[in-house]
Amino acid sequence: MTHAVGFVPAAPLLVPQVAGGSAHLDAELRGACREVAKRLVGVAAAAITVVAPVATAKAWPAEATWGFEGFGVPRRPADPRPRLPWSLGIGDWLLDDIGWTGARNYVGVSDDGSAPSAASGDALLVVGDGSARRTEKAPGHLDDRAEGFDASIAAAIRDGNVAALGGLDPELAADLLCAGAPVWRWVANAIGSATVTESELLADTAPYGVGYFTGWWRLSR
Amino acid sequence: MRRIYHADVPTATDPLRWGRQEFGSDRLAVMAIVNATPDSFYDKGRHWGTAATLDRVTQVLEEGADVVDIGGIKAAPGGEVSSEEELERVLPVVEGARERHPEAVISVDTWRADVADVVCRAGADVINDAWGGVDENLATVVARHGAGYVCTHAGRHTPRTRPHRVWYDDIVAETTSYLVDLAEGAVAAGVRRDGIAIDPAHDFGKNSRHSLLLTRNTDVLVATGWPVLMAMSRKDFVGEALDLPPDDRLEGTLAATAVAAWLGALMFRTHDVTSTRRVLATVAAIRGDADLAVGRRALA
Repeated sequence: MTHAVGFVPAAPLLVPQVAGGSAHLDAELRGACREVAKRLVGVAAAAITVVAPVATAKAWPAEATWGFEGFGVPRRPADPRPRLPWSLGIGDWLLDDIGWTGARNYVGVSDDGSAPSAASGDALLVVGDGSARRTEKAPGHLDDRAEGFDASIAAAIRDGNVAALGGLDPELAADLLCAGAPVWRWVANAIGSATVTESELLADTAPYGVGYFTGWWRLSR
Repeated sequence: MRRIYHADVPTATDPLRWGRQEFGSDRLAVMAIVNATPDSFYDKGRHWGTAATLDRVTQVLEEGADVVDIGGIKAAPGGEVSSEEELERVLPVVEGARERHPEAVISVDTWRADVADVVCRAGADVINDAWGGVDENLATVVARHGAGYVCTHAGRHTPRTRPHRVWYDDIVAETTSYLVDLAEGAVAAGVRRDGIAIDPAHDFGKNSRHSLLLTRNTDVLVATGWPVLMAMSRKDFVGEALDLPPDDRLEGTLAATAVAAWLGALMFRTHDVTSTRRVLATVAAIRGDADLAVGRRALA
């Protein structure tokens, strides 16, 4: 059963190799993501499952690894392992970064919420973010509804409100270019009847017009 | 001229014929950006209004532009601009430019077939389809007028949307094959083969590394045989290479221009005609495509 859930953004620039010379600008957010991952490691007896939005729902083999070549980042030398989609790769990179050597599973959730039946681990590392329409310079330009929408996400993570996080309006989420909504719905289903006994919102920020949340839930039956 | 110690650099083969002009590898060309907009990212309405925009046309031609590229809608997201409004902005400029500068090559930057139809009737020589084949009727309209056509790769994005976390397994291969398909499709629609240029569209549907990779691989685009247009002026990929805002991206743009020219690109779309002209003349001299303008040093 799942003991803990960690939330981190799906921003490629979290990975220093992707961000290049501006990596230091997001050190604080990256630090919050590391803190979440470390807490997961603290409770994960056996396996951590990375969950992230993908174009086509699919399970990936445990030996797969991150790679960001499709963003134009140079290929990792001499690494024959299969590549994860970049979103799962962000979670996988984070686990490498904090030195997790235990088992990993990967679940890709598509926009319509479908996902392969998961070999669910003790802990879920959930990659996803809020609206990409928070400001005029945002990837999706400004939508006035984005700030309130993202505030409800932040509150749900902060308060451990499983129903609220899993029940975001899919149509509004799609309009607001919210990559996290289908993933969070999947997580809510995966948690099932478990109770959130501890919850914390470590980061709630949108420096580039995309809502980034970093958070932590502890669960019990 | 005959090359001595000639470098193994690619050259485009067939000349490009636009309006009354012809461009081949012996004539690197400058396309000047003329914004008939109040809100484009660099000039921010500096030449807004028909009279001011027409003065800008005259200025860039005096500075040595071969082509003026008139656009009525900024690329970034913003308020909707209808075809009617786009034409209100662009058409008087096309008409005025045609009348004042009969020899000039006039290009219009639009993705819309209805706009293209009207401006071509008013004397535009080229349609610069900067959003990469969104309007399927555009090539047919261009063909009907015998106009030139710029095929671009914007990653199949909706016009005026920003790319977000875009992924290409192979940006150079995908861009190249997309552009060749678009160009062949335009020929099939009746566009003159010698009127077509291809443009990888830096920043459009791409992150900065994608744009740098395309610049680095300009020779792959050139090897298709289609004349290559590079639209790099003061764009974000230059800005992110340097961490500088648009006002401070001239040198970076010129460096990219020199590299792409060396690798065989034919035409360069720019805000800065004089400096681009000088860079291209220097590259042509280095390549051995142009003789010295003055041959006196240590020779008197």
